[in-house]
Amino acid sequence: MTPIHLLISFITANLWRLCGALIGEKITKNEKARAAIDGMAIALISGIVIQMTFKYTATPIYIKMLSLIVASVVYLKTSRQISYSVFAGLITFISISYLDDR
Amino acid sequence: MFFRQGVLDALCIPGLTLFGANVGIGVLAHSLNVSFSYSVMTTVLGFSLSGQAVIITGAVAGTALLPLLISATAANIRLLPLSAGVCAASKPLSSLKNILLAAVTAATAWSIIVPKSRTVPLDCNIEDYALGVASTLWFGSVLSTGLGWLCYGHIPLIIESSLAFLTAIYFCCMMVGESARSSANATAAIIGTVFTIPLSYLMGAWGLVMVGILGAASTLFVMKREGKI
Repeated sequence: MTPIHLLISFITANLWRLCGALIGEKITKNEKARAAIDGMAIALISGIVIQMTFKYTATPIYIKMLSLIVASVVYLKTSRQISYSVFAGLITFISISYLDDR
Repeated sequence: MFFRQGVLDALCIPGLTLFGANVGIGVLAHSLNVSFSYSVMTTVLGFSLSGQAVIITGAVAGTALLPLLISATAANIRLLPLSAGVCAASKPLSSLKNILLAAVTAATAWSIIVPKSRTVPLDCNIEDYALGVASTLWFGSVLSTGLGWLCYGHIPLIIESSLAFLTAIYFCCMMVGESARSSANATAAIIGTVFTIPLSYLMGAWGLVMVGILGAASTLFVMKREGKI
């Protein structure tokens, strides 16, 4: 890894952020544009969750899917208590991974 | 809303999940023999998990600079709608604060700031709160990347994998919450869930960009059908 790689990291991330800041400044009072931007962000974040589930780690996909399902159900059943949900998902992930290893 | 409240909100579950994922980035970098300073600097300068993973793995694999630039550009394009959403929601009073806020914005900051902005009156300015959230997440991520690098080899594999997956669990819950809020959001979330993998196979890293465009179009379509815009 060289300073050029750090420069690429800096430029590619912050160029988009700069464009986003300029767009965000213009659409503060435009409800339609804000809705479109929020829809784009929700689709992208959902996409990132799916990518993290199906790619990147050596953990079996079924363990990740089960953790997500448990966390989502707990989130809805506990009136959106994010700490309980994340904890439930984490415990599911660790316990099933442990059983799977054995 | 004040800077201090933003700092405290960022240090709860959202921040902890992001810090866990950044520990994973530090571990990944050390496992690929990237030095401590370069590992931490990728977070300082880039602060984008998938972009950092692309740069670190690409640099170590000896990928040529142009393909690496294109891959990193595609991986980081999601930062555009996220920073636009955060800047529009927090309504900074000066351009300098606007750019500063965007520079430390990523998906976790969006998931805290945008839902929070809906709970305050429309004319209420939450720039200090947003800056508190985003800068705390950035600073904590820098520290946790370094911590991950130092802890390489000392963390059991199961814990390492679960830390890396914590962000996905948190984002999944937030997206379930957003989907329950309106049918337009639910449609965007379903599009992201269903089309990401097929489009990634067809278009590589640019597949996620297409998913974002489809999500925006579907939101507008559903809101128009419901007569909300």
